[in-house]
Amino acid sequence: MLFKRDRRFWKRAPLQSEYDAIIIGGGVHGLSAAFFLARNHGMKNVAVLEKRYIGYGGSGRNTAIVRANQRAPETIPLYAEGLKLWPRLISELNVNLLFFNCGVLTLAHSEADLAELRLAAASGKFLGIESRILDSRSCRELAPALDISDRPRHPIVGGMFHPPGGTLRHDAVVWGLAKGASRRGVHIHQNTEVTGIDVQGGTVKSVETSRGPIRTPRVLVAAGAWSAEIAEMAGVALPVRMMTAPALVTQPLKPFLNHVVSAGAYPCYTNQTLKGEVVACGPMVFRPRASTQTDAEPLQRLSWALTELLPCLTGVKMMRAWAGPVDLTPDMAPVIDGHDSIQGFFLDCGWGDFGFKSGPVVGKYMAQFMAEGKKPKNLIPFSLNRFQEYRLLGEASTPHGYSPAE
Amino acid sequence: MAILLRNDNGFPKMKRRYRHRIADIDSLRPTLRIDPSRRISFRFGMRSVKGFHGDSVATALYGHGVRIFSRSIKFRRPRGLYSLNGESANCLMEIDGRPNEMAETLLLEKGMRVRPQNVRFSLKRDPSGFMDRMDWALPAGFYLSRFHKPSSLRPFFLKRIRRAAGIGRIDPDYRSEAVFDRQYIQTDVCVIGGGPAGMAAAMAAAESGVRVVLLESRPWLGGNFDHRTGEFETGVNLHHRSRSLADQVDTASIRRFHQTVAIDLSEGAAVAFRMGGGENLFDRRLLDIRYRSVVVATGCTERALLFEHNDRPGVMQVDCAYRLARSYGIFPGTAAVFSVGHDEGLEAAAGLHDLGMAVRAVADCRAEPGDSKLVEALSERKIPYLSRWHASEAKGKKRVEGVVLRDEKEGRQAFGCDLLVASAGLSPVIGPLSVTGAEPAYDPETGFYLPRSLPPGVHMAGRITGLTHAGAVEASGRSAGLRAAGDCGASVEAALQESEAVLQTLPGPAGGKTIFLNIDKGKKTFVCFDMDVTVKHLRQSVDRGFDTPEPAKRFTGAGTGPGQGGIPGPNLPWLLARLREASPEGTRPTTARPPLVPAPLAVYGAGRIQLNRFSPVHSLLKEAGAAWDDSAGWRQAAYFDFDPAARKEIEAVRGRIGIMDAAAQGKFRVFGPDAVQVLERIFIGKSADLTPGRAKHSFICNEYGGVLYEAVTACRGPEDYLVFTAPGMGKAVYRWMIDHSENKDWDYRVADLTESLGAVRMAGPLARELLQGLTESNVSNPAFPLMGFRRLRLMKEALTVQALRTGAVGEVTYDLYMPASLMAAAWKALTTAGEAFGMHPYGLKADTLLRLEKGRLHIHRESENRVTLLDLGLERHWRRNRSGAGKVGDAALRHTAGQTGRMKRVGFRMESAADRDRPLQDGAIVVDDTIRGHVCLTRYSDTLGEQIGTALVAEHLAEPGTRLNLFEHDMEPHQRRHALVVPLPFYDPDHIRMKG
Repeated sequence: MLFKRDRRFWKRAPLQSEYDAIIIGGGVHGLSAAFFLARNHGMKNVAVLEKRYIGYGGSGRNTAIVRANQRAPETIPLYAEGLKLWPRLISELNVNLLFFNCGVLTLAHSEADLAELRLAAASGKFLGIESRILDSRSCRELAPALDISDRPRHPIVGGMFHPPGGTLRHDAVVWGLAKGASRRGVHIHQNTEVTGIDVQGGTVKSVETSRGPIRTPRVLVAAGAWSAEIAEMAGVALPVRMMTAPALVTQPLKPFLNHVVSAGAYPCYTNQTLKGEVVACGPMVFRPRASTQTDAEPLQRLSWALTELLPCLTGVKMMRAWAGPVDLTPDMAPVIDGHDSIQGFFLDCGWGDFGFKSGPVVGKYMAQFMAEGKKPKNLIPFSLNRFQEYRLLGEASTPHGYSPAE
Repeated sequence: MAILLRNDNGFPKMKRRYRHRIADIDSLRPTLRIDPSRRISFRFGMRSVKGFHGDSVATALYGHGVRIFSRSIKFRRPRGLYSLNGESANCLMEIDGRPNEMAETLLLEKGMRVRPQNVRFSLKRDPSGFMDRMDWALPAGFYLSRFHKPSSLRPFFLKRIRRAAGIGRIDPDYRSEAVFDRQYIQTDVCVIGGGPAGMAAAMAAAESGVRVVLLESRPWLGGNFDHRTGEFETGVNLHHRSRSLADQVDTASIRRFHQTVAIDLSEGAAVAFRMGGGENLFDRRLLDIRYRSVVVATGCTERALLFEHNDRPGVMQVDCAYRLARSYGIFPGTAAVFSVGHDEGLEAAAGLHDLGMAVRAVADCRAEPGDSKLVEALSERKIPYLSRWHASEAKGKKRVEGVVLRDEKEGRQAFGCDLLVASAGLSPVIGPLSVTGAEPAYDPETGFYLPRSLPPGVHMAGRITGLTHAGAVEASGRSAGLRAAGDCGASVEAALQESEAVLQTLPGPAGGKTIFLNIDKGKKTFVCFDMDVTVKHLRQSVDRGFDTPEPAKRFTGAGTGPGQGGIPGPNLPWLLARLREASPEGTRPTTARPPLVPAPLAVYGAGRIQLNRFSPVHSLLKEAGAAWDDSAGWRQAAYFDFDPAARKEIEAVRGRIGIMDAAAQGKFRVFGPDAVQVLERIFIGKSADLTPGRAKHSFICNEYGGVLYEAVTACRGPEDYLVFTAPGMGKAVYRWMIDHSENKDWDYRVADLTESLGAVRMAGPLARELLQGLTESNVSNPAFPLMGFRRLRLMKEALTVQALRTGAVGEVTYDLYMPASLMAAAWKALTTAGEAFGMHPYGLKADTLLRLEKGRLHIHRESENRVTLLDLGLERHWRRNRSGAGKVGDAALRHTAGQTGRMKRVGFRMESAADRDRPLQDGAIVVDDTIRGHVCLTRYSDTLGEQIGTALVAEHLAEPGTRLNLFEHDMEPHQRRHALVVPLPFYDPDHIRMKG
């Protein structure tokens, strides 16, 4: 058919020998950066290199929860802006990302938890993002399936409701961004593995790939849990630990849970998707390398936690389980940097399990950084050298340690 | 003309409702799995229905005449019984209030309440059935390009989408009364699958003397032999053979688990779950199996045949149709057409004909049958056999009423029928192999996805390997069982050689397979039933760039339904390959992930209950009226006398004497020549200068200088120390200690005394007087000073304790340690002696406030990543290590010592007394134009008569006298409250009381 419209989400493109920018990692962060480079800065000679298929890693294995009830004052405005970006992205990409603005209910199981929630709610309110503190009865009003009695292992003493939060369809986000980037001239190369980064005289020269070398003055590492391996190719050591987050999804049920529910004491967070499945994610476990392998033990703990939290789910069946690869920094805040020791070498990684919600907004600023060469003000706190300077961020409520999980 | 099956014998009190059951039940006896003499009544919707003992819920309903079991999720098409192995969502029903129960595999029980799900009006007449004509509006990934314009209507669309989603309904107040249990099993060989190969493997392994566990998902052993009438050897049918094998397994030394499915396998471990109920005490039980080697003999399921309307009720798999008749005594239909791709289809056609069912035609998509005798058997019965023909369309709206068969060359033929037995051939169940890490690849010889290589200790046997010959299936099982036993150290060489020799003489995998895929129109040719994905959808998926299995699965949803991809199976990767004009070779199936079979959450989490640890004086505290708190796994008294503010308790400690249960403290004896090295490494203070009888309070930092734990180290003697941690922190400190001495060649030992030592803390100005009255030793201030450690005999030498004098709450404080078994007695004696002094027990709430008054660090609340030991104002506890190396956190402290712009810990008091009505709460933030810090802990202190607290603030706000602007979550945006930074501690700044 002569006039058949090219219906592909992203076009097939030849692998050029030179690009103005190379983005390693075809996930939410990499594709967003590519999209905004082309959209906001007119940089169209850009390639996204993906080892497997786009959205393979954390972008396709998360629970797609978005929220801005963070702890660190540096991250709240960033995530808050990210929340406002989703509806605009949907219109602009002309892809329905199924943004379900259902709100996030975070539960407190102790006085210390409540204090943390008050801190988050006050910080959010001060910076203009809504969260409100609830007692346990109001928590149950929001989520009638919650057991607020003394029976569960960690009884619920209160909670915080964060109305701007919600969920999206994670794959749609990846595909939508790929579509948007591709329409603007970005080349997306799947099944293209980066095997080396050539740095000469403190400047990035080219990237070695499984399909041959590519010359480029700019490289962005946005490979999620695989970032540490990639950064090492340029001689940069990232202070990250590899973990996997176990996740499961039950058989589809009619809507009964209207909000995202998060319980830190187990830990377990869960929501019901638009398809009706209950998705839950639980205690992370260490891994020597980035991995998508599931482990029986954390999965069993997660199932148990879910039935403690929502006892009506006891007889509901788990349909699939998987593990999300996670790269965790000591302070649980990301590493966003560039032009630091190597000219043209950019980092957007170390997101731990916060990578999905931050994708587009950080991609936007990352693109600005790469195009203009100057780090935007709001990304300055996330520099890599904060670890050498022992100036960690306050994203976690406890100091970095590795105490055994209780 | 359909044969009428009006029965008048066989079943008890034959009524109209049994017309679907086969009349001459006795002829089926050898294979029958129901007991016609035991009827079970249950409810289906509003009706009372009867089935038979041994029926599954679905077979009982089918026997009752139910043909439509559900409506599909998207197109709302009627769906019927398609398989009996739980491969699709077709037969998901609500049973006894539990949604999404798999009716095809769930054993019928008396009084069950069975209800169809997600149906409006009735299964037969669901008005939403018009959706079937809306397929043009629902292409693959339709939601990506719909429902977002205009943006103002998005919430409305989301609401509609939500309403349409989901299958089963759950009541938020539903509570299961079922008993979930967990069992740990250790074995040498674990055999998964109780078919002929699995039984042979289990027996061979058991004969060689190793321990064997055999898991079978059905309530009986036998696998595909169980119902088949083919010949095993002269005069012995397959079902005879399976029963004699099962008898042998019964007498062999094998642990068998029926109704047990493996849900996960990993190196040396399997997770399975077992249905219970009936005579068992549990309803479902998780089996945690540790094995040394495993044999996977899970056999095959059937690959769905693709044709238009291949999902119509009345279309079913060969195995399903044949088992309905032979195991359950039910005619699957009255007149059947077969469109099959493997020999068992031919065998079943002849078998069903012999039972009295009309078989109109048998189409075989292969060029040649595997066994020509089967074709002869069909012609003997005058059943037309059409080689290279296949079904291209099922006719009929709600049920199959006819079928169009097609041949590429010869055209079409139409047949009337009410049963279309359809199968494209066999497909191995390789899930258990895939999750062990064996990567499946296309094997051109068998036409199966099979692992190229197996991890050590993993074996496969039987039909899964492509074997079809009954003898070969068994022999391969025997070999695999022997190999598995060999992995466990049994000597099996001779037996294995013999078994391999037998296998060599038997026919190997049926070779020369061609994959049959029919993709002509595909508008209503369903690749995945559960998610309503058609061939047309896959074509759209390929067009849009999702042309490999994983992305296509995500894009179309194929294989993500409750059947876990059982229906799409290998069809999905092969179709995609065909659509992008590639060969199936080199394709890979989608990743298999646990659970291999959907498992109830409560089963998966069974036995995971985390228990609280209790102090030896728990019951005494309870009598004293304690309210409880959980602290790192310990149940601890929070407060007494129903007063969360703990006023009486604080008054007692500050004015007289308080007693606290300190059993939750972590307690370790660290001893040996290098014990001091360990302490020097983990504690930020100096431990080397401790002399016997002295103790030191110190902190454990991480490599960023952050404070993780605190502890008191007491020196008992040369090279012998006791470490007492804060309550509940024992486990973590122990782990930290081990982690940080792991690669050192240090000669030391750690004994965890946390559970074996009890601890009682007495604090208050009268504590010394009380203690002196109980002991002959001199406990005066000079004789037993602050941070002293003594061995004391109390109460006329009835009790010996190790006593530590600390200043934890700012008063004279003694921590008394004694064997845990004596703690209750000691507590009683001390409280009795304390009565005269006005002693009162105190709990965690009082402790928190007492420590706050004294400015003590509350690690849990105040220590975080932004602050180091120095920022927390604890520099006095840091002894710079001369070498600088080896002390965890030392490097960070040196680096940050001169830094500016760091957050600091400060004490504050509220500026105005008017704030008392509305006390400040923990978690308020410190602000100016931006956020500058937060309140960690704040309380109203009766002792001091004001609201005090601690906060982490930016350095420029840390000077005493600075006015802090506080903002709380429930304040108006412009409102502020004010506090003044004051020096710490608030109470007794010169430490006169605790030193005195």
